[in-house]
Amino acid sequence: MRTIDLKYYRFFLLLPLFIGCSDFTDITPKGQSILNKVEELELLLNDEYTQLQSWEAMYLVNDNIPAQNILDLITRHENGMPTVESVLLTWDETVDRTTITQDPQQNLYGAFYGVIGRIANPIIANVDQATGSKTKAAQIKAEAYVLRAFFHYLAVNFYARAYNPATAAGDGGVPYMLEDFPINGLAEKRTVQEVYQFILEDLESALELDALPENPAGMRVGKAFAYAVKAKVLMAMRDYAGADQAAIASLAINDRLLDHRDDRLAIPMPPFDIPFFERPRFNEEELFYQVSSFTMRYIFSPDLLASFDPNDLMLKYGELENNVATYLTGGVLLNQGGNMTSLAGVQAWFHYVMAGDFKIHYSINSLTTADMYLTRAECLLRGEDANIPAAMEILEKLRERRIDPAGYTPLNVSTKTEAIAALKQVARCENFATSKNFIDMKRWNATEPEWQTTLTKTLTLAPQGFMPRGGNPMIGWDPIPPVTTKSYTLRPDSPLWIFPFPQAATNYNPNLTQNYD
Amino acid sequence: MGENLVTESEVNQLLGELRQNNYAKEYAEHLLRNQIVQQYNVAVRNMTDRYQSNLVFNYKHDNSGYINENDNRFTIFYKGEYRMARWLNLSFGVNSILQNGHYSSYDGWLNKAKDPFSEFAYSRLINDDGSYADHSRFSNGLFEDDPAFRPSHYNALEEMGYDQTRYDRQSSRYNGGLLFYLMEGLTAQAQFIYESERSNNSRFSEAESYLMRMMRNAYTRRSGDSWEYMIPETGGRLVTENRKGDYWTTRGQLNYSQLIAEKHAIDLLAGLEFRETRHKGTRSLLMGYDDQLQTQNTANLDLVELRAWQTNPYYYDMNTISFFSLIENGMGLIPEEWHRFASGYGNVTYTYNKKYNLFGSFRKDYADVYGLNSKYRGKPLWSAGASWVISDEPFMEATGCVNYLKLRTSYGITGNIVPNVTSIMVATTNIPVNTWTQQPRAQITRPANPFLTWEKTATSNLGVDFGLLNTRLRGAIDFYYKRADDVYALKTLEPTTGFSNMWMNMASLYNKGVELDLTYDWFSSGGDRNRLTWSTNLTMAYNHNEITYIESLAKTAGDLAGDYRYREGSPISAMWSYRFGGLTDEGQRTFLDQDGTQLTGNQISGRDVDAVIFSGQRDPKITMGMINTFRYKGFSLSAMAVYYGKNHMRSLQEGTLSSPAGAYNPEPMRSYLLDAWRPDHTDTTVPGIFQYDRSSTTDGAGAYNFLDIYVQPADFIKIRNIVLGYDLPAAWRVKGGLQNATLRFQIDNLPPLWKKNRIGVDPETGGISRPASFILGLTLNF
Repeated sequence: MRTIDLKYYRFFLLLPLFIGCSDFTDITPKGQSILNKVEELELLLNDEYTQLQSWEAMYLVNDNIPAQNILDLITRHENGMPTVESVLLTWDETVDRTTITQDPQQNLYGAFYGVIGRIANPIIANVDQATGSKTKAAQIKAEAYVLRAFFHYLAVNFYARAYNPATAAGDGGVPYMLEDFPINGLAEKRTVQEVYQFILEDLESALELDALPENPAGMRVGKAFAYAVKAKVLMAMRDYAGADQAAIASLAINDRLLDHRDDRLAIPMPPFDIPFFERPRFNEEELFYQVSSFTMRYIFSPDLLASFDPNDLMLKYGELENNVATYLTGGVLLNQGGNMTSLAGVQAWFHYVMAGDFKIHYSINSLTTADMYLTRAECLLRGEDANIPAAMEILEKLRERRIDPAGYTPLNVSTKTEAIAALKQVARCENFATSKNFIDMKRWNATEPEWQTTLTKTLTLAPQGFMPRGGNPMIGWDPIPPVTTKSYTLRPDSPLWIFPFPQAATNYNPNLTQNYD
Repeated sequence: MGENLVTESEVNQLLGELRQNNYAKEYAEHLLRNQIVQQYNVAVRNMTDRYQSNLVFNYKHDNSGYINENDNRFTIFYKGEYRMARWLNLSFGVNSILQNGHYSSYDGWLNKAKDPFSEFAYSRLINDDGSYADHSRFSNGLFEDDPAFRPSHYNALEEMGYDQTRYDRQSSRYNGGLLFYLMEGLTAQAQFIYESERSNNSRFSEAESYLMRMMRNAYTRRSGDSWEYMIPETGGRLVTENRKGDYWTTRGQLNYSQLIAEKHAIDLLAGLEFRETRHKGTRSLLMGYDDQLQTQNTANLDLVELRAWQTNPYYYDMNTISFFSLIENGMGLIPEEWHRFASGYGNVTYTYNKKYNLFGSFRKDYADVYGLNSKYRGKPLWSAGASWVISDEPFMEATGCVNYLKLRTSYGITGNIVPNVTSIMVATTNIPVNTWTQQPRAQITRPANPFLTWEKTATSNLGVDFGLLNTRLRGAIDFYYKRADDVYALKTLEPTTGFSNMWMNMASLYNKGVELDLTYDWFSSGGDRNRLTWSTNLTMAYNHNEITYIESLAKTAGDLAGDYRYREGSPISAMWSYRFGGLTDEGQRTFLDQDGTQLTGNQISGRDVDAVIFSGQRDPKITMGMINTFRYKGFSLSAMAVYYGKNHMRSLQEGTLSSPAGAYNPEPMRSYLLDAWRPDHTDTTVPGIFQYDRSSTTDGAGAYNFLDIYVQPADFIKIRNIVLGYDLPAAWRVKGGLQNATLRFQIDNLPPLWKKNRIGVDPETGGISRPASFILGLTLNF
């Protein structure tokens, strides 16, 4: 029986080999990272932010009109088939917005929290244990804090009531997602006050690290942006002194403004031989470029275009065409499906691309040096002792860079009311095609009568379509009578200023009750 | 006509002419042919006392069913065994496959040559005068006649000649093994296998191809008074893809088997196996390539400029040419996939008196699971069982008709982790660089789940093997019950988390069923070639499965509507449907909720889960197969029939149409559209189209696809294949040293014999049946 004993030993000898199996399979596959190195964590910050289109904000403030068959949209809306676009177009408060499931906002809400959950929080959670340069680690951690603060700032502005010092502690806000959130947990809705407090704490954490670059790489956060976010956050909280200081700190790093007088393309774009206006993606004004608003087809409202100075250089030389019908029958859009042609039913302006790449780029959800100038101007108008001349000096600094010198005249402003109107007008033209007009208007509309605006709009509809003027579509198009009009109003305290949480969130998280009545 | 530009008779005459045309039929005549596969086998065997070898050559030619296409495959197989010493046996083998061929390129957009339904049904392929009919979709209105631009005519037949993809693949498998006879009953085995795969695919779109002409036009621009080409003015585009795979496996095993005192048989087995796989590749682009002249002009491309060139005022159809798909995609990387696996296993079997058997086995499989806690790396599996050969018992000898009867039972447990699940956060880095900053980037696509546990499956099995009537009737019957707990499912995460879903242990379910395998010899030849043999083999499987627990998954009707959506008390492949509520007075489709309220597709999807109904399961509950084989005088005929049943499918959903298909995207109109709602035709299920179409606001995100009226039974009977063979008589073979020679003719893909649905759909394709294919084979054994 000794041989059998020996055999048993052999089987015991196999046991360590099982441990060998474990070591053998312990490999690091290529193309993946478990985020334990600083340089790999940094790659998360090079995201393309492609989901951050926020055109619903532009529809709400009537900067833009949905690129759809407007006549049809309105008819169906009136027949009880509302869509997200039709509600924003008609400012109809009676529709239960939560039931409109074809909800593009689901993407935007997910996009805001996607930056927080997939970029900012993984960095904050892992960077302290990661190996690599300590300087780089501090920098990316600071960037992550700023991103987390800024995207929560956007979320609270879209989905909750504007900050009101009297009620913020009780007003429902949005969840504030921290790096230690357990993935199987339920996010808790914070009050507006709490959200802003968290935002300020994150901004402080970022600035304390003192590691943000003054000249950040493209699509990355730098120190000027961090101060700019702080300025806008304090502005929202009505801490005007603090906001002004933060704006000064941001401008101390970057106070450059684009000079539109020099920004026309040197070479005229054939075949039209007009020097076209260009605002590139990366420019000295844009503090944190993410996504261009002009990658989508935008139809600008007549109202927005009327608010520009008639001699505005972008208006004169930007790729704006003054009649949709021309554009459509020019052949470019006809292939997009028959529906688009009936867009001719509304008179509107739109962004048009001539050749090569799109020429005008605005980052939709970002901040610019111009925002910091506007912040300073507003701070000067705030309080009892409004410094109107100083505020106007700042506004004129912007205006003279935007307007054709041949037609430029400084605004004649004597009262505070006029100054506020001037600020609003300059801000709207600076921030068209972004979500910032929505955020600013919502803030101004919150409680102060002298800052509030009731928006109105009148749509000119041509149900019969358009006719080429004199038979030549290249000259222009005229509506075929009868022309009808539709007028709508949006009051400052309308619930529409608060976007609904998407069903994708509310269905799975009972904490997310809507913040409007 | 409204403006009196044409007369009614002229219109009728034109319509009459168009009615004569049938694009798909003309396409079939000119571009398709019967698929024929030819197969030749030659086998040479050699055997001496210490040495055995086996060499097989195989050649296969497939005409693929299209003109201008073919596929060739040549296989060499060699296996040798050498008894080196009394205690050592050596074996060696090679299996090498060489494959090449070419086919018409197809991208479904610029080149749709392979789709017979890509043009209007009333259009022509070839004009009466024999010229190619013009199907250009993207004509250039302004500069059509300018010689600076290439012409924009398109024809599928013409395109097939100009845009071909060639491929060349080699794969080889080498294996070597050593078998040591260590002592009485004890052997040790070592084996090594290496496999290598190399493949090369190249799509060449010649200068004359439609793709290339359109691409050249899109990248043509004005420069002063002349035209300027941003891509080479002449030549075509060649995209070559090279792939490389290397795999190895090594195995060591000890076997011990001993018979003690004539009655106690013990078999022990233990082994280890290691395996590694690596796969990677590259893609490269040549522009201005001329195959005849062997020239190309890729180095002069300005990629930054091409990328930025997104619109072209001289050429309206720029949006059909994408830098990404035509240029950027042609260059790049097929990211390396590298995996390692290891297993350790052991089996113990004890048999008493050849009648009573007990066995136990244990196995642990390891895999490189990245981003997972290392405790999940080894996957345990064990099983135990017993069997009893009843027919060897003395009491069975009395019953003469039972030749063999064995009762088996087993129980086993497996643990499992779904592939790619992670318990530590993992980012993917093999993604394209940031388009605007050119910086490399990483993305986290799914969150880590630190609360992960094993998915556990327990399987019990009871089976009988039997042979009756001198084993003319033989077979096996098995009953099984499989219970799985902590089953993984993708849990929907609410977007506040930043993610959309995550793998979680979410469900419990069971599978139970019966499997039967029966063979009956109607006539048996006893080895005589000239006598008729006929045997029938029948297999049958019945399966029932049910989700017994699921952590809430679907919250709304829209979440649940669809297939393979889990709900307690339902099968895994459950189909959930909306109830059809008829059309409104305006021809819009409505959906009914549980209270019978008519809703639009947008509204119904937001209702709770009870608004959808269960409409059967997708996977068949019963599958049956029957093979009948006849042999007579060297001829053999076998036919295999299958039945799949007790399941359902969705088909022929009636979508709507907002406008007639445009010249940009021509396709035949669906016949059901003739039945579409009109104010004067309301007795229909097809909603209004064209001016009556409101689907964008009423149908939600394709909710109509899940309407109950489009659910059909999927049961069918098909003959899978018929094989006719002939073995050459021995007398004919002796001269050539042939052992045997076989001729074979096979037909595959026959249409269903019977199907339960009444809409004429082949349940396996969801539409018309695949065309039958024919295989011719010759096998020679030396």
